This record gives sequence, C-alpha cells and structure tokens, in this order.
Amino acid sequence: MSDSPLDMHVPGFGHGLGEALLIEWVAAVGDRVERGDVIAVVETDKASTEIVAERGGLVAAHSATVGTILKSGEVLYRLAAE
Amino acid sequence: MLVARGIDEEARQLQKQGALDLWLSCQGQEAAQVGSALAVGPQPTVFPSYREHAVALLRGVAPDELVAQWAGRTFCGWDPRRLRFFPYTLVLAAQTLHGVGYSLGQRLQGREDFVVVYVGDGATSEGDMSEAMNLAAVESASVLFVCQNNGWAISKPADEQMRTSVAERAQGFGIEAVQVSGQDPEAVFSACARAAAHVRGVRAPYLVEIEVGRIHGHSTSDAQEVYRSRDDIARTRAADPVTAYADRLAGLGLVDTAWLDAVGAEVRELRERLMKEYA
Amino acid sequence: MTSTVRSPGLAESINTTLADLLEQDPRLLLLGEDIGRLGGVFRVTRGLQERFGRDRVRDSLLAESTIVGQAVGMAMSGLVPVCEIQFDGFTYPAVNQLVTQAARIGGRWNGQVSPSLVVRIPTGGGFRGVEHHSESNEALFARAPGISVACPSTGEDADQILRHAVTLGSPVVMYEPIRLYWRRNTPVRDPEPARSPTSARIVRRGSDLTIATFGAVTHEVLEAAHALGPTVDVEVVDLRWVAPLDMDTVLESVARTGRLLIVHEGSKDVGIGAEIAASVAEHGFDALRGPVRRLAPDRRAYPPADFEKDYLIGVQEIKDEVLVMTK
Repeated sequence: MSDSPLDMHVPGFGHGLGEALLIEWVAAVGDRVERGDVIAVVETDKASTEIVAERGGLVAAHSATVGTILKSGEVLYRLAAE
Repeated sequence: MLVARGIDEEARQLQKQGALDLWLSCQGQEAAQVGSALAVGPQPTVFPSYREHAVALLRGVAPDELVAQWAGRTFCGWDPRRLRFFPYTLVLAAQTLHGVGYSLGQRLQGREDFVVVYVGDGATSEGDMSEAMNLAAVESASVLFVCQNNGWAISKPADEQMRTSVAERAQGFGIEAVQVSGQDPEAVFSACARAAAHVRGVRAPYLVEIEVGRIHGHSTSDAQEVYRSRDDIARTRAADPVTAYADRLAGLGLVDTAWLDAVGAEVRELRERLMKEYA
Repeated sequence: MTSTVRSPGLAESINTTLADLLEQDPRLLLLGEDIGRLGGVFRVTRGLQERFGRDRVRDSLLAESTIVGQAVGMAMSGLVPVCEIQFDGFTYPAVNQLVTQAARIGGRWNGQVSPSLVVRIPTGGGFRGVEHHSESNEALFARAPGISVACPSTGEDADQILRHAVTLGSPVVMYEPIRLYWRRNTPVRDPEPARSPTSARIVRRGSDLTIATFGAVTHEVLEAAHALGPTVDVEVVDLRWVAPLDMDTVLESVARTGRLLIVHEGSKDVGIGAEIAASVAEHGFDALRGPVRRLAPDRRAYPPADFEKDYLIGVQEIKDEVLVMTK
C-alpha cells in the first residue's frame, strides 16, 4: 500500500440498485479497520445494509455526510496504510 | 348407474356413426361416480376431469348437454354455475389447482367452500396434482379429492406409473386419505360420506382413491386390445359394477323386474332423444 | 442537453397503485412469493400485508403453477387476483395455467365467467442478474389468444394499465422492467395523454422517423432521440401494450414520418417487431420512404452479466441505426 490514502468507493447494491441513503458512519475517522469490518450503514430502496471494509487500514477521511444519497462508484471514504 | 351406462353406450354408438368426434367412456366407473356424488350431496362445487359423466347426470346435466362438446358444438354444453358442476378440463390435473383456489376464494368471501375435485390415476403424475395437494394441505382447504384409479394412463399401467398408492401419496402431503374398491357403490358412498364429514367438520382436505375397472379404451380413439391382454379385458367386463349391483339388488329383492324394466324404458327414451338430436 | 426529469421509481409507483386498488375493491387480492412479510424481492408490495392483512396479501408457495392455477380458481369464485412472479425466467412453470386455462376459461364457460386476473412479472436485464433473471418473454404470451400483454415504461403508465387490467374480465400479463424499479432520473417525455388505457402513447413528437418501442429500452430510445434532436427529428411511440398492439397509432405516426424503426429488448426473431413490421408492410406500405428496420438482440440466451452490454440495445446503436436510415 502506498503512503497516500486510497479512495474507497460506494459499491453496487445488486438488481440495478445504484444508490443508497447514508444512515450512519460506523467507522470514525482515525479508526483502524480490518477487511470485513462495517464502515457505514446505508438504506437502499430494498433494505438497510452495511458497507464493509474491502481491506485493512486507517480511515483517513469520510467523503459523504449522513443523510445524503450515495451513488455506486462515488468515493465514500479514504483509507490510509497503517 | 343404469342411466349413466345407457347414455355412455349411446354416446359410443354415436361416435361410431361419426356423429360425435370423440367419447371418453366412463364404463366401469359408475359405482365410483354415483357413490361419491351421492355421498357429498348437491351442495359442493364439482371440478371434474373429463369422464365424470355419471356425476354430471346426477348433478342435472342433460344427456344432450353432456355430449355437446364431443360433437364439436361448444367447449361446455351445460350451465356450470347453476349446476355447480364445472366444465370438463382436458389438460390433465389443471383443474386440481382451480378447485383449491376456488375453495379458498369462497372461504375468503364467507361462502360455501366445499369443493370436490375429480382426477384420474394418470393425471396424478402431473405436477399440478402434487402442487394442489400440497396447497390444499398447507391452506387447510375444504377440498375432497376423488381419484378414480382405473389402472391405466391410456396404455401405461398403474404399477408403472407409481410406487405407492395415490392415497399414500396424499398422506405424505399431510392429507387424510383412504383407498376403497369401486366395485360396490355402497362402499364408495360410505367412504365418501366419511370423507365429506371430515372436510366439513375439520375444514381440511381429504383424498379418496377409488379402484375401478376400465371396460373400454381411454377414448374411442384408443385401441386397448393392442396393449391389454384379452383375459384382462374379459376380467374387467366380468366384474362390471353396474350389472353386479343390479343383480345384487334383485337378489335381495330390493328391485324387481318391473322396476328394472321401467329404468330400461327410461334409458331407451333418453337414448332415442340423443340419437334424434345428434345422429 | 440534460433532458431528464426526476420521478418516483417504478416500484414505488406500482406500490401506490396496488395499495389504492386494494383499498377500493374488496374482491382484489395479491398473491406471490415473498410479497407479504418481505414486501417482495423488489419491495413492490412493501407494507401492503401489514396494511391489508394476510388474507389479501398472500405469501404463496414457491411454485408458479400453484400461483396462477389457484388464482384461476379464485377468479372463478369472484375475486380479482393480482399475482406476482418473482422473475421473468421463472414464469415457465405457470405457462400452462396461463395459456391453456386462464386465457380460455371465459370461452370454455361460454362467457358465463369473465375472470379478471393479473400476473405481474419483473422483466429484462441490465442489472447484472444471474442466469434466468434478465429475460424478456413478452412475445411468448403475445402469441396466446385471450391474454393481454402490457409493457409499461413509467409508473404513470403502469398505474393506468393496472387499473384497466383489474376490470378487463380476461387475464393480463404486465411486464415490469427491473432496471426501472428504482431509477429516478428518466428522459423527458411529451405530456401527451394516451387515447385510451390500451393505446400506445406518443412520448416524443418528431417528423423524420418513427421509433416504436416499449418497456425499459424506451428510455434508451428517448435518450438517443433527444441527443439526435439537432440533426434528425425522431418521433417515439411507446406501445405500452404488445398484445393487442395499437397499430393505429403506429400507422398514423409512420404516415407522418415515412420511416419506421422498431426497438425492443426481447430477441428479434419472431418477436414483437416482426409483427409490427408485417402490419406496416400490409397497411402502411405506401407511406414508407425506406425499409422498416428492427433493432433487437439476436436469438440467443441472455448472456452472463459480463456480456450483457453486448446483448442489450444501447443508446449509441439506436443513434447509429437512425442515422443510417435517414442518410
């Protein structure tokens, strides 16, 4: 992993769901996360679901605020190497 | 039973003359049909398969209405709603799901939900039959399934169609079921009366499997001599439930020659009217 | 040119319509897999079981023939069942009950019963579905006499179609494009109303060429038409129903533009486009300035998701085809 934080993106939600409402940040800026840890809770048109870390690291920044609509492919947060 | 036999015989004759396009004989199944129809009474709605002619006549379908569809005049010659005897369904077992759905629909609307579904042994191989039994079981639908097992799915014998009885299969779905001989209309009546009481009392399905003989081929287009032994056909004819029951009643002194003659005259008149209408 | 508008998704619109229909007609009930507790895999029936109860919003067994077969019986008893099949590719077990039974009951009963029965089917691809989840089978039922087939592309049209279908007295299959269930940004349409609930709708007026289309791909067609605006003036007819087809609207449009392109997502061979092209050849030949063309996938199974972009008709292909036809 390089030194500069990585952009982590909003994933696809399946069945053509391209957006979701950001309900809650579970991982705060500065938190260390492992792959699979919950980063945020979102609400799609179908259901409430969790966005999980794709890899380990330190959450360097949130790129969206609670209550906004996230679109698949947008930057959601930034992850720095430990 | 004698009237049904006479009408069936006339229809076969008319088909041979070219007046009907096809006829699916019910000969050999009269005791099963009359016994079951009398046991449930006139109230339940009947979803027949396509050879429940004795049931149809008991429900008030006139002979000319019964044969109309086999002469190519209509797809249903009678008034299904008034008689609560619904149209024949030629796609095997499709009516089994309709019967269950109808019963559920009636129940939801607070109306009489007792339904009788007739089906043959061959049709029980269809997925719809299994689906209907399962649906009836899980919804506890007020449906009496009457399976007339005549031992043949056209040319396929019953022992090559299934490894258990239809009654055992129904029990596997959680449906109370019984197997009864279709030789004696009184035995059929008793079994079906118990079944009907269960459906009415518990408001749950029941299946009666009635073992019957098939005297003629599957239809007038069938040639059962090709695949059935002469002895087998002869045995079935010898065990004819209609003559057996008539003989028994006569032997017991419950009917006399005069009564039988009167029925004979009635049958002749009905046959003549059919002949005039269709020949 | 950003000619899109924001509107509620199709799932939400249909939910509203179903709730209203349940409210208005006590004979109406919903029947389908997972439609009650879960609210349907696409949440089209979300909240309806809580509101109307388990008798009227019924979680069915996982058996499509059971769903439609019992609905036929319920319709005979005077109810109006609105069924949901989970995905288009799972419709086949119900085809027998639909084609040999539902479609023929009215005739078999000599008109004594006229069962209103609706089967809603999520359809089409473009959402990375797994095998059997992205099919378009409308032409299958369009071939079956006695069944009406609707393919709405907006919530407003689905509303009008559903309200008509539950009173029709014969079965209606309504195809709902999965990729529109939650899509909120859609291309602008002319507000011109349809002449009747069963007629097509001219959703973009134009003078150079007519595109007849239906279902989800209507949106790609409109996007292409808007983009071509400065060069070619395309008229877009959203058929809304593929059986019966509103050929009057198509023929009138072709009489104005002289050119016809048909675009659909179901495969081309013996498809809806073939029927339209044949009808125009029979009844509108003199108006044509060039050959009628069809743009639809080849006759092959819907591919794995990685290849669906090659299978589906995209905006660029539509634009290219229009330019070839008007050169």
